[in-house]
Amino acid sequence: MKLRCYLLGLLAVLLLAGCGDKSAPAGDKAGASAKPGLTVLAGSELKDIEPLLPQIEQATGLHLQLKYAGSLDVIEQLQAGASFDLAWIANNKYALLDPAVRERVKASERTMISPVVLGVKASKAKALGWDKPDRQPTWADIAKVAGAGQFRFAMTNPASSNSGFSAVLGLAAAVAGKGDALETQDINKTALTAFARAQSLTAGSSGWLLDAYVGEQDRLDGIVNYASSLHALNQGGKLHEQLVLVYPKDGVITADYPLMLINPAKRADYDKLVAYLKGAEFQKAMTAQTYRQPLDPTMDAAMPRREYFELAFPAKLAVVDALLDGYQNEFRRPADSTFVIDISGSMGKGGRIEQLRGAIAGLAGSDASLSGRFSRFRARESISVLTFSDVVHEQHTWTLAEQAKDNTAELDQISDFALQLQPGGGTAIYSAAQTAYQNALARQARNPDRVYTLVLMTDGENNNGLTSQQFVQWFASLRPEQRRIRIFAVQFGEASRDELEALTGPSGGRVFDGSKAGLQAAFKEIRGYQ
Amino acid sequence: MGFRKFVAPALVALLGLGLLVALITSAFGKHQRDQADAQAASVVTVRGLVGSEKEAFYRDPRVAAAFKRLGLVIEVQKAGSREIAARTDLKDFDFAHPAGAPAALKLQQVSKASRIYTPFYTPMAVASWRKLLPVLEGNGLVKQRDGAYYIIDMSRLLQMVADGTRWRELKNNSVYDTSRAVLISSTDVRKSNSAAMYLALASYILNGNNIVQADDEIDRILPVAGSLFLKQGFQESSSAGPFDDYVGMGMGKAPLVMVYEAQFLEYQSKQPQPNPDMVLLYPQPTVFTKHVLVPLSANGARVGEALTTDKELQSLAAEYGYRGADASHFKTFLQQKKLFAPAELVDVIDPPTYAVLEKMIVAIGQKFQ
Repeated sequence: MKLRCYLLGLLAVLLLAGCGDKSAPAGDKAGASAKPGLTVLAGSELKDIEPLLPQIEQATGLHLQLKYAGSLDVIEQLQAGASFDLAWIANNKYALLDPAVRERVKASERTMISPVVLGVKASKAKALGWDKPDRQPTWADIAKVAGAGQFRFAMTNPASSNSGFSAVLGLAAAVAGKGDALETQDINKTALTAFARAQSLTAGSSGWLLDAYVGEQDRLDGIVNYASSLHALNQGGKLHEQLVLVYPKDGVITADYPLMLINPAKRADYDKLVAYLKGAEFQKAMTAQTYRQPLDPTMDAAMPRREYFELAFPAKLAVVDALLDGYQNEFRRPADSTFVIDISGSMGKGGRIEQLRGAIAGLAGSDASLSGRFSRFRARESISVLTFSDVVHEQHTWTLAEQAKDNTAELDQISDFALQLQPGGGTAIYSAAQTAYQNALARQARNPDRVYTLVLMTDGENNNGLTSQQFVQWFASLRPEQRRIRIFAVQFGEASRDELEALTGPSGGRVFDGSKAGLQAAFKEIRGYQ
Repeated sequence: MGFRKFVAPALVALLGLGLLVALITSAFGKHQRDQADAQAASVVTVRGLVGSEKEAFYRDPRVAAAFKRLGLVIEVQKAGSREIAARTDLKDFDFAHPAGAPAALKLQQVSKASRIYTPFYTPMAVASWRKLLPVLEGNGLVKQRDGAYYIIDMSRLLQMVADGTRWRELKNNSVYDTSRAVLISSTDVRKSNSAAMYLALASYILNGNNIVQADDEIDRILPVAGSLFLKQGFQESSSAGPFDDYVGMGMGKAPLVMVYEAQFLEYQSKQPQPNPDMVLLYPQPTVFTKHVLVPLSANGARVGEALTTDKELQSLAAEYGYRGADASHFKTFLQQKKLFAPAELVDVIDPPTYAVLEKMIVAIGQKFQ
């Protein structure tokens, strides 16, 4: 078989070489359409590889079609049997602890290296004594300073994104103090809570967090992210103050970007691709493009390598899950989440109201999937739902207790409330948004410690109450400290993307598409930001 | 389409030529023709199941050419060494070449192969860093003899691992100032032979320098033996994983890594200059990973025969860092690549039987749940 392929290949080369100029374009065209494509389920961290794809294709003849997803989403898609040829994410250790995923991964080869570290503003690093590479703080030092309110940072949600997860795992493993793999009983709640208190900006993806940090850099002291992304941020010219990279002395967790073979029929293509990605040509281009480290320690990295310790990754899924559950339900600052929900007449069309009911009930506990579990309403969270049509309805608020077991009745109430929602009437988007925002501000004044967010879901054009412009003007008239409740929007049905961007932009929020993947997926994604 | 237009007449022409040649040779007499036929018929395709660490060797074009010279074309499929004996499709293969004698002996039982071949072997060793040598030597763990570094007190090293001793607690340690526990990293013992060989070695030492045989011995050593693996946390399932950590992430990730000597030597041999920071420590005692070939058909036996008798194949195996019965190939390889390894290892133990090893692995596997 193989020999025949080689011979045919050889013939093809000879044939093309002998063809001369006039038939070459035709040959090229045929070649392009017949080029073997490989579908790749990729972590969103890999977007910076995109400029190198043509080079990869030229060298290997393989056309990679990358479909991006968050780290947790990738794992879930693999669990569910999504058909991709390859998967490529920042770190696959958590994924491989899951037997269903492990079964699907036929081979795995690392491709690049970048540790998850802290970027700390230069002046802050100096003040804290963290600016000397030979005198880095331990994780316990960092947690202590964070707990004392001296270090406010941005970090992704550890349940939905690998960078936040790596930092929380690093902290937990280091402060457990055993020097080997973390076990559930060693999770140090005090240190984790102190650290989590200082997380002042969260997001569901590392890339979006970097942009959000740029927007809010003046009220933050630093950001947790990949060393490579922090280098890029320092080079990007958007920072008021450079970031010093702090590598906690007791160790960090490193992303090694494994490329995984999922479809065994593509083994030969996979081997070819891996050989190229590990080769000097790609590694050189990669480090220049992304600031990640090449695999070969003797090859120069775009940014000087630092010596650091690597912490052990747990061997048991239960340990990781306990850490994530603990972070969400115990350690982090509790959330105050408002959902502003359009139940106008158009929501009666095409199963929209049913999708809405299912999405909210899913967050209240009916979604048993992995992402469903990590996007559920959390212990201590305050959930408000404000529905609207042409008028703004009464707001309902539920506050969940500290112990998950005490929340069954409340969660059932939220679910029941969602399931009885009925569509009817016009659409007063901006009046509803204003009311909900004012209510949230009032709660924030009473209880400033929570993480406040507002999610607006609409399927149509505004035709009652405030206009989009009026809302934007009103928002701009608020005092700066009152403009910090992030507004996220789910665009659904006929809703106007432009208007929703005008609504969310000034608050530092963003718009999610609820039409393509469905409302439930959009709501779950937003949970990473709450 | 273009190809076919071109290829078809060419093939016809070639066939025609062949016929012509055949006619002519027949005219030259029966003797010559018989010889040619014999040569053509003697090239057979042989299918093998091999441990992943030997895939590169079998796919090496020079290896393929050497086999071709002996009338063999080898097609290999990679398989976990521990899984081979349990496969239901063994009849589709002519030979199996797992890593580790226990898996091979089990397979010999299953397949009733009358003869097995051990063309090469490699000792288990611990890859470490030159910077750490003063600490390891200062604590009486490692000693240099005749140019090689030996772990002279495996028993104490394993005890340190079991006790959770920190690097910081070792005396005279100014180079590896960390509260990390002293650990030897390995592959996943549930998946990979190199970790199973680490277990074979550790179980011998923990059993008072005796090969583990009885159930009560297993029960006694399991708590410590299991902790050698559990404490590591997540482990890679293929022997390339920990070695990639060692090479790519260095001392901060991998101060001590259980590897095949061959892995280390092959890596170093491919560098423009061997990396002087990397050192290989030989446990005392150590255990060999024997690469035993189990024939599943007469043609499979020819592969075993070729690997054990053909000088060129043996010399190529040496380039992958393997040792064989004839030590001269390995010696030449070391000289050519300016590498050092002890010519002979004297203190070598036998691994336990397949059944005992399996029992220990299964018991440790349960602790991972």
